[in-house]
Amino acid sequence: MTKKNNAIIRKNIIILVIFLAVFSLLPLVMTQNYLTSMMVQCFLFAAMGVAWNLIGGYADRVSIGHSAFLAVGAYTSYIMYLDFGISPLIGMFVGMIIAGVLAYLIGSLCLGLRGTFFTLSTIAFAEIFKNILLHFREVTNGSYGLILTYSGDDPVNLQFGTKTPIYYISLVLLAAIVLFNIFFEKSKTGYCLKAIGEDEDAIRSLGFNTRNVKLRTFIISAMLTSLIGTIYGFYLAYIMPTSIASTPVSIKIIVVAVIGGAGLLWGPVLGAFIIIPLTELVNATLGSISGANTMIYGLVLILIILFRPKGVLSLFIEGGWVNKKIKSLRKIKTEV
Amino acid sequence: MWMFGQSVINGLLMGGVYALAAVGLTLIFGVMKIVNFAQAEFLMLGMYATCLLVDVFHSEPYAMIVPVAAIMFIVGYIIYLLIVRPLVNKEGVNRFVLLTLGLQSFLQGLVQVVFGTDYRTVKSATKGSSLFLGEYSFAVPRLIAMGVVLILFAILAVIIKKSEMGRALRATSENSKIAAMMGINPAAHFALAFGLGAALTGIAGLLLTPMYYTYATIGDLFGTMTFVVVVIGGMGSIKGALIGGLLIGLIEALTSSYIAMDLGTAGIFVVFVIVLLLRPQGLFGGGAREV
Repeated sequence: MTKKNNAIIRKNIIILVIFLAVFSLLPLVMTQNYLTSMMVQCFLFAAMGVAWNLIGGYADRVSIGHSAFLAVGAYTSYIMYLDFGISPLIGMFVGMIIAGVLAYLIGSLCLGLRGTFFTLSTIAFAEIFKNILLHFREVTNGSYGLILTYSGDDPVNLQFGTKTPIYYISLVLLAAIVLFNIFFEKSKTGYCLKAIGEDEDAIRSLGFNTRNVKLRTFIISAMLTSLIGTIYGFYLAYIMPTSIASTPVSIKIIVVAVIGGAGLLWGPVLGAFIIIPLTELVNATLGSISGANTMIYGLVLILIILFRPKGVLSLFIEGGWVNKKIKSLRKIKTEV
Repeated sequence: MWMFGQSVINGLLMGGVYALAAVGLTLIFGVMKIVNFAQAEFLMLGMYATCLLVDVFHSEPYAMIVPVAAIMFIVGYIIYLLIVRPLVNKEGVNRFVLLTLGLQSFLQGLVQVVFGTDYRTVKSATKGSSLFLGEYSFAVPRLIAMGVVLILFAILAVIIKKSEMGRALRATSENSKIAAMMGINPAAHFALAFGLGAALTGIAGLLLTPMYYTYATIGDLFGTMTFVVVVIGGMGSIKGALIGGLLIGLIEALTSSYIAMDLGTAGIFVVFVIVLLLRPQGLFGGGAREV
């Protein structure tokens, strides 16, 4: 078992290294600012998807409240930077701590709830949080949001004139989160989570404290999301409750994870690389028609759930459609 | 004292509309055991249907209750057949969650693409008029909405309790497998529940048109609210939806008047979480419901 595990871990790390190498070299040939910006979004949403996947994919506990954790990260580092001049490099850790505490509170209250009730409770918390952001105008500037004004390159405060530095920052962030997940997936907690996703009562009857496992994972997922939130917020340079703390943002994260393959390590990464370029394509061709984007998101999600509930990646893994095709091709070859 | 009285009046009148929007959700949940996250988009579609019909026929929106209900029933029925039916009897509650989340985005985007982002209004003689009782004012559109809601709830209660169809719906809701053994076709009643649910929420949309602008994302304003109403009242309980709706309207109005105008919704969600923790089956929900 452990041997097989090590082999899988090694395989995933090799994929990750290739992934890193390819995308580190990409800016050498890809110089358009527009494309770089799109890649940043791919990396960041892939990272959010991977973080969401921990609780939403492996444990099959769909959270529609992750936008709140994203907003915690963004708002904490914005407020610390704008009001106190503290670098977001410090702010992001403060954000993670706040997100962790928040996730502990929400998680210990709601993770005992079954299925849909948990999902509903996460919406409720996200809504409360959005209302709080809108209400405390003195700190958050209400619905107007907060703006970063660019005043020259300032790496310590994540202010750059070009998109390239933020490209590498988000690439490294994604790689780090995937690396964490490579090991997490094969840990005892990871296996327990998958078992919870399959049948919680069964694993509980074996003496596992499933509530603890879920709570720990929910906290980790929230803290990672908050960390991404800081980078995402500084990439946007402008945050407001409707752009970062609203349900559509949560849904976007879910779409990324589910389209690629919820519960699969590389699923959300693949999902982001499908849905973000698709979004940009829709924007470029139908940009004048508002709503086209939302419609496409919805349509893609519906089609995936109807025809490929395990996501696009499930086509490629063991027993998937592509694998079978290759096998049958090989068979034909040997027969010939 | 005046502020308290007026808040209670406003809250209860608003609560009636919440109740009607939520009863569609609870009906679908009761029968199919799934939460439809796109329910608020039915409300939005009902509002658009009203706007279009009023534009064509130049009548009062309230005269359009039957056509709007019919249109929404058909819309709900078709949506059920196209995308919900293929998932019935398959494993996993979360597939419905994700499916209806997709449906929610799709419908919202579709309406934006077709009708644009303009805010629409309907002409109605009742708009802006109020009745006065002593020092308290009652907005006429809200009073009418409340009246319609109470009548519809009464009709619905009679149908569910007394008619053959209602009995079949209740049987399916209690245990669809055993209902099937008794010769009831669960799939047909799932479709019926989905259509009825869409129609009722659509009527709630119609009742809102004289009070709110009609636009593609208005569902966001009511979406989470209807979940709250249904969870507080008890998933699947029609009486629960009515009382839950009124309660929510009341809490929202009181929080807005006494704590802060823009924390009205936050107040509701706090109550929601408390109910979820202390009584997850809701005030009128059945005992042990596995969801």
